[in-house]
This record gives sequence, structure tokens and C-alpha cells, in this order.
Amino acid sequence: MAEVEIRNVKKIYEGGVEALRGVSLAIEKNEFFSLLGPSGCGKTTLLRIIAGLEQQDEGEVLIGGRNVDNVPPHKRGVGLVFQGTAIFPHMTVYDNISFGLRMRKYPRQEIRERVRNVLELMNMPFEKYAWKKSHQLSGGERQRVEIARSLVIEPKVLLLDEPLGPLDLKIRQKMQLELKRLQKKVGTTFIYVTHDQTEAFAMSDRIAVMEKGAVIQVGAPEEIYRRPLSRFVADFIGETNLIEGRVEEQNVFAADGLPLIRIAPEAADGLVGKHAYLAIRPERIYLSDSIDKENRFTGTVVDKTYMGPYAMLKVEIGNNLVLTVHVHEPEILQNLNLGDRVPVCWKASDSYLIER
Amino acid sequence: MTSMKHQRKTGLILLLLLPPLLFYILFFLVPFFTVVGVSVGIILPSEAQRARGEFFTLRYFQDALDPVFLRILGRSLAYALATTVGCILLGFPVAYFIAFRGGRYKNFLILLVILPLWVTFVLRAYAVLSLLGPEGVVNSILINLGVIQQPLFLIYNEFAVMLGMLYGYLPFMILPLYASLEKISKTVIEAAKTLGANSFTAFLRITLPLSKPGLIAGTLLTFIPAAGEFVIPSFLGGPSEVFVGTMIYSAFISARNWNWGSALSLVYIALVLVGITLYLKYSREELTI
Repeated sequence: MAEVEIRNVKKIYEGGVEALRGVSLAIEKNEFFSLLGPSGCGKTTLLRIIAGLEQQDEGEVLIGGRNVDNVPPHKRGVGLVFQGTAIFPHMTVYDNISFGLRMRKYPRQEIRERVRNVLELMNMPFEKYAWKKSHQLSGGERQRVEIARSLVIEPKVLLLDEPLGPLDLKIRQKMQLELKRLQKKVGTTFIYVTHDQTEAFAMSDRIAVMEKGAVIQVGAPEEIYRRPLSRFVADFIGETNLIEGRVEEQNVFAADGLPLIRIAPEAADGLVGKHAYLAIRPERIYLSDSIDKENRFTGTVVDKTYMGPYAMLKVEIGNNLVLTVHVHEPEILQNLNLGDRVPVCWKASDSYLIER
Repeated sequence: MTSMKHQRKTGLILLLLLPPLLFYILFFLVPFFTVVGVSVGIILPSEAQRARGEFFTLRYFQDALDPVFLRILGRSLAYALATTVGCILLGFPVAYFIAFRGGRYKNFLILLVILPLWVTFVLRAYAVLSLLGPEGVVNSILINLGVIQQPLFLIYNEFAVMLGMLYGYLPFMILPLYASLEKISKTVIEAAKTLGANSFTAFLRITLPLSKPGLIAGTLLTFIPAAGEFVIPSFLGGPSEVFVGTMIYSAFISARNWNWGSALSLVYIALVLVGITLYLKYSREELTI
């Protein structure tokens, strides 16, 4: 049984804006589940509906197998973490974290014990932090207090709304690892909203990619990266070269102005004779003409950029089709000039097809 | 080099501070110490005082601490307190509604709140008069509807004074309350709810403490001027609704006893000052959870 189940949830805002158009998801117990999508895709609305802060217009939400549509937020057994902005500014760290326990009328001694433990879990020594006020904390510390405050009540589900948004890149990366470690340690179901795919990839067991109020693909990070089911996912998750054309045969793809392209036969199932996009990731294209890659072209370098760990080239292979190629030895840039002719190749099995 | 720059900057600040400083000295400190001087007879000694050859005297303070005056003072403070509490009770829901539910009408609604302030205080007192008078709007409607035969006595009594005070001071409570409620982020309240607080508890533990600065400012802005109110009780009050302000006014203008009037003013100022200090001290400690 799923810990959180969302059945055909619809939400229409005033003025007829469809925030959610029939979303269904099943999130397993102890799963780190991310809702990933650009701003305005409905991911935060969905999170707020799970928390009970907003009511859906249609569909149902089940937590632990129980329909919670008429359960107010404070009785749903969920924790909600914002961007470190929801800390109670008039209270100390101790009072912030103990708030939920006090609401549940825990005895004094136990409250103290639990606050101490959860602060430890957050790597925040009790003596150093408990009596600080919110304005004495850094952004990262506030964030951790907010997470501690939600975790201390042992929610069945912890909802996190872009919690690392306002933090610097370095702290963000550190917090990503810490959050993941924490989630495995406490074994709570995490539902994590983000628009940052690297963040979702770094932490999640599974990801739901959302666009315009709908979930368009659910899967493990590798699955979503290797096999996007739509043009949107392919574009949104990392970079992808998309070549428009037609599937001629089970293993042949034809694009205007290009020689025939070899494709993996299993990728073309059900698509033969149809218009489609051929997708190939920039890091799967090589600057060589090795025999073991079925597709070999010659192109012109039209742009080159040094990216640090890799170099990004734009290579035109005819008919205004420019491919993005990631080269993992950036030193190659020194011997390459714009206008140079270079060989490019890729394996048929590294490409995949997306229906139009 | 930097110290020279620094010096020049300090000089500029002093130069900019000079006009307001002069203003304060001329129109606040000089009058205040004049009042102090008059109250002890150093300045403008009375005929009787001169006849006795007194240079400095506390007899005007003795007059000022007369039980009649103290009773009036007590009543003024009681009215001011009632006005403040009334403004909080009436103003908080309004400020809360505009801050949290106002949406895009927020600015318009705040404009409506301050709209009465565009009309002078005296005119607004007259407005209450014409509303509640024997031939006023309220009485006319009630008589025409047949609810009453004779006009009700709605003015020249405590009720009219209270109504006039609430009407006059409500915007001064709503504005600072709105300002501090508006700053409270909704996510803070939502966080309290997900942590197990129902709406009422969330209000009590989060919204109310966070609106404290507005409550304090609003209380000061209504209590102090309400205690010294002069126009409303003279227009709407009966003979028994004599306020400190009215009393001081008549001491200066009718009785022409400036010494006594000055002593009255200083007793009043001292009492309000003590009250405000205690209030600030107490409220700062009390409302911090």
C-alpha cells in the first residue's frame, strides 16, 4: 500500500487557471520522492493539497490508506518545510522546534530530550543553538531548524517545498547530501518539490516530472534521464539533441538533408512509418569516426565553449542541423578552430525516439 | 585622508540636523520650560504672589492636585483607556481582514480607513452631532419608522463622547496594526498549522505576538491624544464629561490663571509619561513568548 496516494486530483484557480489537471501518483513508504518541474507547473499546489493547506476541486488524497480530504492540516500527520522563511521569528530555536510537541502536550522532560536529539541529528549542538533567536541564525541554520521542527513530531510524510532554494550552491550541495542521509536514517517518506533537476537527481528514489498541471513521467532518475517519454522531459532534464524526421524502418530514421540514421530496433517499436524526434544526449556524441559507432557524420565547428570539466561544441552536420557535443577532454579546444571540419559519431543504441 | 573625509561627513550631518534641532528648541523646549517656569511662578507671577513677595512657589501645584481635578484626570485616563481598548477590539478585525484577505484591494481599503482623516477633527465631531442630534439622521429614521415617538437623547452624554472618540481614533489603531500584520508571512502561520496548531491556536501563538509592534504603536497613538482630547468632549459631552484638556483650556482662557493651567498641564504630562513607561516596560516583557 502506498503511503501517499493521489487520485485524479484537479485544482482550478479563480479565473479558470488549471493548476492541476487530473494528477495521480502513488508514493511508497520511506521513499524520497521529488516533484520536478518549471515554476507554474503545479508542483507546489500539489504539495499544499497534500498538506491540507489547499483543497482540491476534484479527486482524492489518501495518506496511509486513509482519505484525508476532510482532515485539517494539523491532524494530517504531515510535516511541511518551507525555504527557511517559516521559522517563528519571535521564538528561540528551542521554542521553534518544541512547538509541535507542545501542541501535542508532551511532558516537559520528553520535549527537552527530543529537541536535543533532533538538534544533534541536524549537527547543531544543543548548548550552542537552543537559545538562539532566528535573527542570529544563518540561512542554512534556519533551514535546518525548520527541518528539525518538522521532523521532531515524527510525521508520516515530510513535505519539502524547494527548501534549499535561497542557499548558496556550496551549502546547497552539502545540504542535499545531508537531507538524503537524514531521510534514510529517519525512514520518513519525503516528498520534495524542486525546479532544479540536479537536486532532484542527487536525492530522489523516484521523480515525477510535471508540466502545466500534469505529471508527464514518473521514474527513477536514471530511467528519466535515459529514456524521456516526451520532448518536454528530454529538453527539461539535461540537454538533448533532437532531430526531426520519420521512422522509415525498424532500424532506420530519415531526416531531411541528412544521410539515413541507424536506430536501435527496440526503440522504434510501434513508430515505424511515423514522424518522430530522434534524441541523442550531447555526451553520447563523439568526435571520431570509430567503426563501432553506427552513425558517422562530418560537420563544421560553429561554436566552442570551455565549461571546466568538459568542453561544449556546436557542430553543424548539414541542413542547418546543429548538434551539441560534450567533449570530456577540454584540452581539445586548443587545436580546434571555428570552421574546422570534424568527424562526429554515435551509437544507435545511445539514441532513442520520441513520438511527436 | 579617510579621517578628513569622515570629518567632512560628520560636519554635513550636523549641518543637516541644525534646522530640525533649532525647530525643536524653539517650538518644543522653550515653550515647555516656559510652562514649567509659569507653573512655579518664576515666569508671569500672579498679582497675589507679587503682593506676598514670593519668587518661587508650589502653591499652583497644590491647586492642581485638588480632588476635583484629580477626578477629572482619572476620568480622562479612563476614557482614553476605553477608547484604546475599543479601538483594538474594533480595529484588529479590520486590520487583519485587510492584511490577509485584502488581496489587490488592500491599498484601496487602507485609503477608506484613512479617508475620514482628510476632514478636520472639528468637522467630524459635528458630523457625529448631526448624526445623533434630536433632529439627526438616526432619530429621524427611527421616528419615521415608528420605532419611537420622541427623539432619543443620544448626544451630550458618555455614549456620544465614547462614539466620537472611537470614530476619531480608530484609523490610528488600524494603520500601525495593519502595517505589522501585513509583514507576517503566510507561510509562518501555515507552518504552525502543519505542526499541530488549529487556526485559533495559530492566531494566539503566532499572529498575535507578531502583531505586537503594531499593537504598541497603535496604543500609544490612540491613548496619548485621547487622554488629552479636547474637541470631542466639548462638542459631544454633557456638563459632567469634563476632560483634562477642557479643564486646562478653561484654566488658561476662561479663568485666565496661567500658573494654575501650567501646573495642571505638568501633572497631566507626568502621569501620562509614567503610565506609558510602565506600559512599554510591561508589554515588551509580557508579549514575548
